[in-house]
Amino acid sequence: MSAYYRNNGYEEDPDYPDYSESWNRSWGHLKTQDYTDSPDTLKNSGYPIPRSNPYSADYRTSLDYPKSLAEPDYPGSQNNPEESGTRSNPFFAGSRSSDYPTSLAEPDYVGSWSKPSHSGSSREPGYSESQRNSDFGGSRSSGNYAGSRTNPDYLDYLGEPDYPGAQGNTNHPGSRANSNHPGSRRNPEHAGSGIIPYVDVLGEPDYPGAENQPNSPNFFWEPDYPRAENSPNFWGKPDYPVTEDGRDYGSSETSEITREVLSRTSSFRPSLRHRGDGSLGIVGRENEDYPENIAMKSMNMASVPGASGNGYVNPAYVGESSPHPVYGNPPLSGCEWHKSPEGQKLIASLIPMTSRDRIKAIRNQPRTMEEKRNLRKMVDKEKSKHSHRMFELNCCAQCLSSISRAYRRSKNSLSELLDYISLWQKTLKVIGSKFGTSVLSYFNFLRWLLKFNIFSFIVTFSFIIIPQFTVAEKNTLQFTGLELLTGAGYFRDTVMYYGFYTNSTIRHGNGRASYNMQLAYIFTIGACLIICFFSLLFSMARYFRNNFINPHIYSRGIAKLIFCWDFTVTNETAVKLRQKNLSTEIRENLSEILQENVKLTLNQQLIRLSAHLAAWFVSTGVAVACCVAVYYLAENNSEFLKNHKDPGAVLLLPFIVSCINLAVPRLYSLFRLVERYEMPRHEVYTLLIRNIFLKISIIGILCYYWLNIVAQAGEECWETLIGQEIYRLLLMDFVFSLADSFLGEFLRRLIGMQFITSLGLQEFDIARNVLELIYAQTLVWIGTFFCPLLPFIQMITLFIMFYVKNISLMMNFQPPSKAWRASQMMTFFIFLLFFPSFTGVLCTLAITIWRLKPSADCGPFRGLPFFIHSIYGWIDSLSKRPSYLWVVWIYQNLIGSVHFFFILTLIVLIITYLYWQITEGRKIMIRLLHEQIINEGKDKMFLIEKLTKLQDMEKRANTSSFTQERRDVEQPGALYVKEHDAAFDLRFRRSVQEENPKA
Amino acid sequence: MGQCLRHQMHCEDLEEYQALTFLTRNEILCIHDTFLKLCPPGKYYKEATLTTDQVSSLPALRVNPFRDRICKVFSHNNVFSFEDVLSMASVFSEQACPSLKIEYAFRIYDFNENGFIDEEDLQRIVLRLLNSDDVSEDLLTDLTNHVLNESDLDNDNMLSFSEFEHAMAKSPDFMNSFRIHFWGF
Repeated sequence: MSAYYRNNGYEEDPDYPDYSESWNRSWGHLKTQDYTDSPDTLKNSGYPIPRSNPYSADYRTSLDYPKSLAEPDYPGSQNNPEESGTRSNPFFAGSRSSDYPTSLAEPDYVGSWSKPSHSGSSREPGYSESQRNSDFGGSRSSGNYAGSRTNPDYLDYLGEPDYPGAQGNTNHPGSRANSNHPGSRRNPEHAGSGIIPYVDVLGEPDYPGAENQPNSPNFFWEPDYPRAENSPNFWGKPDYPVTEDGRDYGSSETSEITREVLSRTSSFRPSLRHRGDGSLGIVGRENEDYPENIAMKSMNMASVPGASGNGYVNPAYVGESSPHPVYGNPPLSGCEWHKSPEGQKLIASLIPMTSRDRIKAIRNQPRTMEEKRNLRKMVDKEKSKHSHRMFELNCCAQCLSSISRAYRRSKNSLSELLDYISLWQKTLKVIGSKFGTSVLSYFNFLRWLLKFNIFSFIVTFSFIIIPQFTVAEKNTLQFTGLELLTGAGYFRDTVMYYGFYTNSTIRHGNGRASYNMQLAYIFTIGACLIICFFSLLFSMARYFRNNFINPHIYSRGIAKLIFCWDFTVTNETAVKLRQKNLSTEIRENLSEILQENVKLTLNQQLIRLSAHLAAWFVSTGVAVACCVAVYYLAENNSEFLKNHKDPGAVLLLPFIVSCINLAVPRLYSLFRLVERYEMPRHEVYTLLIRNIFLKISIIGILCYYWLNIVAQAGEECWETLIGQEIYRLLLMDFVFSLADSFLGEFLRRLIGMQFITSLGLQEFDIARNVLELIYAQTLVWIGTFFCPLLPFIQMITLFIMFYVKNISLMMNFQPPSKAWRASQMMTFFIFLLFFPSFTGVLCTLAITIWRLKPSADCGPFRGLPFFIHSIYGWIDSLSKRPSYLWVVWIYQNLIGSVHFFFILTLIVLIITYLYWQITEGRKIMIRLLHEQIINEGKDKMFLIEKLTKLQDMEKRANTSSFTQERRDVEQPGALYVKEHDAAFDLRFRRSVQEENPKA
Repeated sequence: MGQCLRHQMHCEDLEEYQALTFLTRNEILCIHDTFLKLCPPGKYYKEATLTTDQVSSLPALRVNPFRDRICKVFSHNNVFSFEDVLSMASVFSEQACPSLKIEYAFRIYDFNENGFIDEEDLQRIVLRLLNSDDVSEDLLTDLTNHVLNESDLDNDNMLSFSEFEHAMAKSPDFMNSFRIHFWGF
């Protein structure tokens, strides 16, 4: 709308030509200022002209027009839009004596507005005008207009009463003249829209004249319908039938004039609102100059939430006392909405979609069910009309549609079934309702890992374990029960460990179907890892996409704190606690922002820096010390085991490792007392990095020990030994977590509740718990090769952990006090799971498979120099068979070829570089756009300031004649109510009458 | 989830509801049951209505600080028909698309319904979030200023829908937290 005001500026600005130069927004307002400073005189002079002009009568034809004319000092600043609306028509401007610069300038703005890139996506009323007026722009560019400017005929033409005559005018092609006519008719209506904000003021309780106007409520509300109906039309559709426009105009405009007068003393606010609408419009418009306005398009899209814009953006907002739902449509158009042009447009856009997309699009409409249903019906009807025409003979299409319907139905029921069997739905909801999304994210992560393991288990079970079962030898070892902990003894000769698997080709029956266990083993593990890799990669990419949308962050996140209230929480105490926490957090955040501006002294900075350094030094030192301890312990373990014949002695190493994992993270979290981070987020990240460093380096050192010492020691079946070690580590970790949950957390609660009440309940430490999960998962991935049943064990432990953690959570914890950036943290966790953990696993397994010699007497790879030789042998055997030569070719040229990988890497690098450059470009683009938006805002504020000043001035000027005015105002209002219904007829008749005499 | 009884709802109706909302069959039936339990017995579900008080005393909404706003936004003439309840549940369901959620969140937060989230709205939001009476005027203005600083792109001291959408689209936490489970209780 502010753009619209500017147009007024053109016309009323005495030195207009200047203004056309200054269209560039940065100094545009200076000119507008000129206009606003001297509106009265201009308007007064301009005003009589429309009256004397036959055309103006044609446009306006309003009943109230004469009345408002009778008003002594009609031209308030509020009238500007109204009047200039009519004037913005070049005909009109032309008739205003020799005011040519004005009429010249007008096409100018029209031209700049009616760029096609904007069609249909406008929210601001000003824009639609451009569509209506676009013919002018066209005429200018074709030179006709310019001709008419210098041509005195132009005036004649304007003065000519007969419109058809004008059509015959040589300067204007007939068609254009034709289209001009409706355009001019619509103009007043548009002007009406410009006044709407002032109408709001009437709706507000503080309206000064309200009590004197018994009819006013009626009079205020009624016009809302036509306007609302009207709005889509003048905002979106240029080719809406003229007659309807006219009618709408008749009913709304008449009231507007009277109201306008009423609201002379209007408060400023509504107009401000109205401008707010337009602001984005300005941005959209001016950015057309940008060669790539991708981002801008999305901006436009944002400002037009589909059809929803219609009722919602309608500036005809009324106060809370409004009987209408302000959002959505006025009641009248509620169910008729789909008949409105906007609805029609939506329907038209829905028709070509596929039925699935269509349903989705309808579902996404922010409308009531009834409206959506109608919309769907309409679209279906239209669709069937179309399809009858198109596919009358094509029964294939029908067949297809019925198939797709059946498919949809079956998919629905399938997803329902999945929904039904999906684990822990209800438990998760309860957790969410009590602890919010952040704690919920831990459990979701756990569930996600569980799914991973279930999948791995199914794969290994069906391709390795079942075939092995069929040829399993009798297990002679004795089961004592301690094996459950140590994983040794009885379990050594079961499908659990690598050593039990056969290297033979399994044949049953007559030997037609054979199953090579060696290949099955390596391919199954490989496929498992590859699938894990891709699913990790994809989920990580999804999280990254969702969470790092904006390249640079403008905000500190207070807006998020306020708007992201966790609606999932439905527990009363939880809500109260959350509110309390939120209040402390908000206070903290604010004080943080204050502190940020405070520069620390050099001394303080030094102290802080040294504290950080010391903490890092200590934490790294502790981690290294732990690693060294683990390494020496592991190295001496074999000797220790020889001395101690007790089978439980093997548990020493896992016990120590688990102790380290339990104790050191708690030590790390004590560091926060020393180093004070300004932002809690930094603290969390530092803690996470230290913890993950510790855990990964311990696993790393263990891997080194296994691969370099255990594997090289020449022990019998070293793979099984490694498998057992991993099993013990995993189990011990599980036992420690159980103990921690049941004892540690329970004791902590007792202490917090009974003895030291100042401690209170503890908060659930999501980071630590998630890291434990990551640690366990890393072990499982490494161990799958040596102990194929490990995913199954992890499945069980996770399953138990879920319930244990759930119970412990409900009993011992309170919701976290910090608003946790759950999504960002989740991204970080999945990244951690991918980067050090999964990548490390891949490296370890790659070394194992390519570099290590499998043990000679057990396992599927016995007798081979390296694990990978099983593949080489297979390729060799395939190359003897001509029908499988393609596999050999693929292997030799793609998988086994260095050149292929070299070229592939090169291509990937080039693509990455290009994408990186594109992102850089986009960043610059975004920064520019952001700056532009800020400039627009400044621009707008300046204009608004000017307008307020002007209004104040006027108010002061008018206070003297205020009482007089009011009396005058009452009359038209009362009249209006009577004549409202007949407004259209009368208006029409009058226009005919006024045309006739001229003829 | 499994405890929902089957009710006589026409198959076509059910399918239509499924198509028009983000809810699954089971959820719709559950909401249907809850709805029938609340409204006077013997009424056909399509004609029955719930008052806003009844809806805001649902377990899912009872303690929500914005329950009255939610009710206002989703009800028609201050009563809820079955379809109103359904569309409310649909917007708050996990499957609902972000743009829909943002749209309705904006309506909910727009207390004075002027089409903008202005300072007044923000202060009311904050008061409801903190739910304490000792929120100082300074804190409120400070907070609103910060929020506007962050999200008000064109400096008009209020958030238009697009500004709000822009701010929320950057925050995936919003999608996760703007959820209410209306069924299964």
